Amino acid sequence: MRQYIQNKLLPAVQKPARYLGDEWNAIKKPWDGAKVKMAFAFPDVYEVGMSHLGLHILYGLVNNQEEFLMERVFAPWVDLEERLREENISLFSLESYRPIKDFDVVGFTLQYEMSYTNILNMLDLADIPLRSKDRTEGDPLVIGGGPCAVNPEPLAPFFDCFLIGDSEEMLLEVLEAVSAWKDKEVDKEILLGQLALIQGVYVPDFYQISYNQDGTVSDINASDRNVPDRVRRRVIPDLDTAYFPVKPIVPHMEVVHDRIMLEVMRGCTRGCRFCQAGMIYRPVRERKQETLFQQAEELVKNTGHEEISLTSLSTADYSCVQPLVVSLLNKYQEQGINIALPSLRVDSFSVDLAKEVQRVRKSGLTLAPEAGSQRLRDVINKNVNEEDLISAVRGAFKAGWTNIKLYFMIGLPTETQDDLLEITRLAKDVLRLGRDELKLLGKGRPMITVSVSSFVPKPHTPFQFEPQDSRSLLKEKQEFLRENLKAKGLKYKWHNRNISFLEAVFAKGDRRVADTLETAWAKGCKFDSWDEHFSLALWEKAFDDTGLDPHFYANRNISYEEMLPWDHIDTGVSKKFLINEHRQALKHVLTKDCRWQDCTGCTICDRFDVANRLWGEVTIAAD
Amino acid sequence: MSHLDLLRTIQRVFRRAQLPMAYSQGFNPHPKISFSPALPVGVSSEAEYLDVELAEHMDESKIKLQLKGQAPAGMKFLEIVDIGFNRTALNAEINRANYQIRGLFKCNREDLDLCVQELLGQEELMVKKVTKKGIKEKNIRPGIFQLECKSDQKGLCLEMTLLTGSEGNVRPEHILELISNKCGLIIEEPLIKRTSLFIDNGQEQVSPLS
Repeated sequence: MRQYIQNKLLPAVQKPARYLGDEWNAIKKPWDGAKVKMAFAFPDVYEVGMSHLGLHILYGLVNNQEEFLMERVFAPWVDLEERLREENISLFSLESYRPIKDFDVVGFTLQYEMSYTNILNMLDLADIPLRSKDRTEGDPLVIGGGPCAVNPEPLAPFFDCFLIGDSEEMLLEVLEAVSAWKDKEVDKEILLGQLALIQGVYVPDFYQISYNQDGTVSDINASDRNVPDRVRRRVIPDLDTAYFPVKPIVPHMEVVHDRIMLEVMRGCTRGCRFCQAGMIYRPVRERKQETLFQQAEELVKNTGHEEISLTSLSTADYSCVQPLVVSLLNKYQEQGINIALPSLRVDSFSVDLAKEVQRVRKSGLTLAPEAGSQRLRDVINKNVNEEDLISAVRGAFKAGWTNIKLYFMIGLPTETQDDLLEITRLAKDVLRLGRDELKLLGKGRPMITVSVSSFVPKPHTPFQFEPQDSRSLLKEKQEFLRENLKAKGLKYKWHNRNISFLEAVFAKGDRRVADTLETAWAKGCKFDSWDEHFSLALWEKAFDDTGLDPHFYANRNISYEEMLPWDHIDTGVSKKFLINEHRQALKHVLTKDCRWQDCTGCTICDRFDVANRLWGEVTIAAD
Repeated sequence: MSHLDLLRTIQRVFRRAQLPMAYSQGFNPHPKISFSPALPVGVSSEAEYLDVELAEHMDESKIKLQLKGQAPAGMKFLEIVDIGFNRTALNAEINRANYQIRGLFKCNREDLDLCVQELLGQEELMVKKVTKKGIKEKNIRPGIFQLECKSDQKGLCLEMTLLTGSEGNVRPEHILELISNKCGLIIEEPLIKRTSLFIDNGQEQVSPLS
């Protein structure tokens, strides 16, 4: 099969290296030697999926276990899909080229809502029935995990179970249960019952949802089952001792993040009120500097990569970031290995760090003030003032950066025309500052890119109660910015508002939108996050056909009392805290970071018996 | 794998092998590595060459030892030669490539032989080249130095010597295109292999390693 596909199909498709397998550090375990075989499925193309750290972690972790094996599968690009369908070839894994339906478990990672149609398409290409109720004991167990699993309802009918939270321990427990079940040859129902008892595992079939006349949820009921009323997210309390792969796969072709990813910490407690990651990955768990230094050494040796990226939600907040960066630079600079900081805060500390690491190479610098006015930044709890921003940008120009990217959101709660004007004023101030500073240095002209996305209210955030702006309003706002961001040296970029709209529908959707999803897929929707593939018309038809109103999900004010489709998923952050934070937002009151200030009452530490774990001395006065 | 992928892969192999590569100076330092003429995507090869400058002198045998086991499946380092510093760039020096094409020959040996004779008898063989400015016609006959049909225990194959490098490049796919367009002979699912690269300096043919 491998030869047939490689010789006959691949020469005719774009980027055949996506499907070759056999990369450096890829693991090919003997098929018959493993008792439970799992396919890790990423519902997007290879170069996107291979840039995802979670894949590398779970791939190494599972393959380290003697009785399990894990192989990879990505969404084939449309050209290969066409050939596979023409020739009736079932979707295959990259390691053994075996059909995905031969695996015991197929695990999809749920990174963004707009990949959902690709999941259905991949199941279909794999000849696996889409809905769990249509699958039998001979079909693989279809599981999902990742950030979108905190509201799994739009996908509920298609999945046997979801893994909520950190998977490093939970996934192995799931595979153990599958292994034990395979010995007994009993119903899948029995297996699902076992799985539902593992903390963090949600079996949607065991929970009945009922609805009110107005379409809201009236009840989520699991009472006739021996399963928890609320599924608790799984949290690894200590990241320092958690598994981390030091022999990740090195792709043949260029991927989106083509570098070593060194995870310095997980979680963020800055508490930006729009940010889902800042709520669902709590608490902050750092790795020790020594651990990271050692992992870096092995990673360089085992991959040959030319860049080490210190990844986390906010790396400048890592308590040992400065000494870690210095020690890595001292060791690797002369070997031509670059250090990258992908997520910077908007302050001069971050710019100084960036200056430090870019002694080797220069690229653009990205800062995310998120909102133009101080008022709105206080609403979203982005604890940054204009002084911070200006001093950061001045530092960047002085250090020789000419390209600065500023990242904003429009459609945030309480936003007015004044807030938009402030975006344009800020951008122009930065441009002017750049011209002056660069003139002094004799360094040419600044290029300021203003990248603007549309706010998508996400579940389990303080802004889950908020509606998204209507598409017509977003259009007006985008056009206003386009008109007012015209200047030499200014570049304005904006996101497709129709895609943001659907993202809002599926982020906060309930179980009923699953029908719409399937209908849209059947009509040909796939690769929805790719502008060239996204078709609003097909989606609108799918909503019509299934009799659902997308605005009900995306554009509605939700009361605090309303039962939400994801209320039975307990991320650790209580709904009471989210409500309180929403109230504070409307009052323009900031909430401080609990790493350096008092507990803010999100309740996770007490209820889940965890705590922020910082290893360095807290020398950075955050505010 | 594209030429750029190959370039990136080689750099990573060298880093895994802990060989001290020399870097270019300036804004965006990169390892000093140069390659023989790019191998088209989907074509396999038995002979690629690259020049690498190291930051310090190392014996060939030591380099070979360190490279051992660091190359991905399908790639192998065959020979390492110290060439000093003042050698012409590989891409400017190498000007001939040998290719072998196998596949499903939907024709018999006699017709193919006749076709080859007919093609070689022409003074002009035009093929279409897609460039940034659109489609251009180009005469590739001067870049075909040898072309013949052979058969062995694996069946029929085509072997050819074509122009490559900075003087110009004739692709083996062009030959298949001509055989199909001029003689109506089809080779399905062609597997193309570059079997060697060499330098024709007007007097003799020499290996890039000499």
